[in-house]
Amino acid sequence: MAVEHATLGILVLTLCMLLPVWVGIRRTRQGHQLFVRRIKAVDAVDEACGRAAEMGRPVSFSSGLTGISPVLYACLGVLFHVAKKAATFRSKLLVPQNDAQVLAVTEDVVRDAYRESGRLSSFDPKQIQFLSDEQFAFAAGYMGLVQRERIGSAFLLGNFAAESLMLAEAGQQMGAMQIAGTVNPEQVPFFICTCDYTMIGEELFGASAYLTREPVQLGSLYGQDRAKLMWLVLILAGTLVATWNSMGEVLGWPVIPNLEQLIIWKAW
Amino acid sequence: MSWEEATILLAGIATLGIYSFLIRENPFYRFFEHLFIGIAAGWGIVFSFKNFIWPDLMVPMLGLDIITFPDGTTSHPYNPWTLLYLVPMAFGLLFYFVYSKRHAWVAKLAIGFLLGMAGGAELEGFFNLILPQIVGSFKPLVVFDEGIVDWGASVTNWVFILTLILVMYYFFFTFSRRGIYAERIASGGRWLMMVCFGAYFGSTVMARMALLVERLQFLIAQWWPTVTGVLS
Amino acid sequence: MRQRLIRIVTFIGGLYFFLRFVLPGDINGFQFARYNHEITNGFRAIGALTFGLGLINILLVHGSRLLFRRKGWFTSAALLFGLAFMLTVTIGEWLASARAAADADRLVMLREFAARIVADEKAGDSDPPYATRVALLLKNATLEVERVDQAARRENPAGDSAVMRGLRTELHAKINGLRGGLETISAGTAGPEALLPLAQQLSDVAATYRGILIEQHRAAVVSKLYTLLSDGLFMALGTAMFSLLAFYIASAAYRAFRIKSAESALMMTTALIVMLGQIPFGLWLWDGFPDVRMWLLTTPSTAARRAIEIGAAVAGLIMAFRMWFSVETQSFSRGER
Repeated sequence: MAVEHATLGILVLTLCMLLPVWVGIRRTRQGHQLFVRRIKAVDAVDEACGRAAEMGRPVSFSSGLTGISPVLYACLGVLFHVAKKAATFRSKLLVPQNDAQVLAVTEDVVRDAYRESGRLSSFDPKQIQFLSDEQFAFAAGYMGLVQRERIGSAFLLGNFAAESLMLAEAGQQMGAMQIAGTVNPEQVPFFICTCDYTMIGEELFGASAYLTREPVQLGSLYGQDRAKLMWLVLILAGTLVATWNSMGEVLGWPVIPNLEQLIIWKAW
Repeated sequence: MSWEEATILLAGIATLGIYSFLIRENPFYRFFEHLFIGIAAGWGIVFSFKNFIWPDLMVPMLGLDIITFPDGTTSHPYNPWTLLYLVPMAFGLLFYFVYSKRHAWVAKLAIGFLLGMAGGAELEGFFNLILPQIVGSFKPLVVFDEGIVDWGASVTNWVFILTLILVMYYFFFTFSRRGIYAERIASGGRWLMMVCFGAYFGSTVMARMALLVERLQFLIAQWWPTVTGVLS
Repeated sequence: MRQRLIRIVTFIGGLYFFLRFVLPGDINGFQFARYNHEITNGFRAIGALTFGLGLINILLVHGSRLLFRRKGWFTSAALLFGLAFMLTVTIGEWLASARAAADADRLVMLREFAARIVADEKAGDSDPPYATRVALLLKNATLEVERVDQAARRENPAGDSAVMRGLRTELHAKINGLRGGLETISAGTAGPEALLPLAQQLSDVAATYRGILIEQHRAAVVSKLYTLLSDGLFMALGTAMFSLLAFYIASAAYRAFRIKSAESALMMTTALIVMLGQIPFGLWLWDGFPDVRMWLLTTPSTAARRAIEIGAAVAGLIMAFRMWFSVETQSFSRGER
């Protein structure tokens, strides 16, 4: 079911997703308090930074194979927070990279974090190290790096593929406290087995909002939930229609066109 | 020693170097790790030139795809519009301002452009990913097979829809879970996710073992005979 | 001012792909995405030269280690050596194989010429005249065939591999066929249709000759060096790394069973059932394991995955719009405030 161009139904659905976001951002900017449930993995971010500082060991932050995408943007929010903590606690921060463009972005973000902490002089561009854009060369480099540097805490957030288990095991062998988060469901079980905390799917997107409590990010979270609720209601409605049609074939009830006809209906 | 024998010998030693990491990080592994990164970097640079920059950008810009026939005619006229590729290439060079202390902000123009590009392209990707999945979830809760209720298929569809609802419910962040049922429903979603993750775990084990078997076969059946052949 | 400029550029970046999706494919005959391939190439070109960022970073980190003999300088030297060597050998191999391919391209050019003559004649657009062009085609094809025949001969055929011997025999036969084709076509009397089989014969000879050139290239030192580096190191190291997962997956499973939480127990039990459904031992234990495995994968697993993906996609879309419209003072543009 490839969608080459937006239909009226798609545009309506898009507006229905964005409208709650706009409402949420307005509400939070006006000072309304928003309930956000606890995410254990995000609660543990400060604990991980503090633990590494106490042990006098570095913190490592890897966005895996994430390219320039919304997932990277979500990771940058956590990276900014972690970099600020590392700057404040004077911990060494290592940010091994897989993508040259992401390297430039993360260097920018980490520099800004150090600047905001008033520790710009401590910032060393060599903290952000390009390893390789080849998947297993990156994994080999990361594994060697975390063991040589004897990291105290590791953050593995973003897109990961088969190398996820290797990266997490390397930190596990060092006894590092590890917090992982990925939108790839296939890699989650490996993180669950090897990391102390794991953010699953969209928990990664909510992490930055949870850490910073910025009105725009909290408002987006509010809108996100309402958008998901819309899709859930759509699925339930489609299921009921499918059930009606299934029973109708046998019992002679009229057939109702299912919702996909409405969504993909071309107005022009 | 032939080139083929040298290749097999080197491949085996490199494999053992990587496997030495299983004991702990050591100089033997470290050497091959760094060599791997260097070789991958060199290969990657040429690969991006060979597979994109040269054939898709440089060749049309320089007119090297134009064939001149013996009668002086050409396969196609030169397209001067291809020179417009120089604009995005020059714009991409702004990334290098990240190394300038004073003008590092200029790199943010290129970074911002790529972030905007990823943002603008997301809508199409979203609907192409989600719509088939949403439509595929419209499963009838009562399935008939030749006029009789197919209980197996019906129960399967019930399990499917309930799993979908419970797991989606687990990921609501801003709805407070008042009451014992709300927390239990969320907990149910988490349990069902564990089933999903366990299934993924189990289905990848065989593939990973097959990779190890292949490497061990290489070491035993190809590398070791080559070593003994060279030494004898 | 800087922040405003960054926001404007960010917005412009996303405009094309958004409009391409949202606008209809055809607006009163105007196709918005008519030059989609070229525009997409243009967007890709922005990131095309950024490999230098990684290279500079590698040189800064490892170059300084080597120059100042810091800890780990020897392995940094190995990295830089590997980089330089692989770069040199890969470029050399690329140039050598391109040169080899170009040698056969002259025949391809003549095939294209023949096809162009036929097309122009059918369209009534033959300039220079048809007879002149055919004469030029025949002359150049005859010269090229003789050149290829001479180039492909070998003084000592006994040194050839079986593949090479087969290719030379095949080329000889095809060249004889092509010579026959050239003789039967005479300028001024051959209609356009007679040129099409000639074009096909030129194409066949080019393909076989290219095969011989590739075999010769494979025997060259630069090609063997490339194979040594790519198969002996690059691929071997990658495969070895990948195979490490077998060890780690076993240790991860052991750790998961030891955790003693109900959730990890459920996860590993499901993993065990799925594994047993894939192996003969499982089938021997109970022949229902494969069906249970398939049901687990297609029903609860798919449903849970779908729910996770829908949530992540919605969150990603909203994040994408925030990125595109620079809605927040996120970490990215914070420094410019």
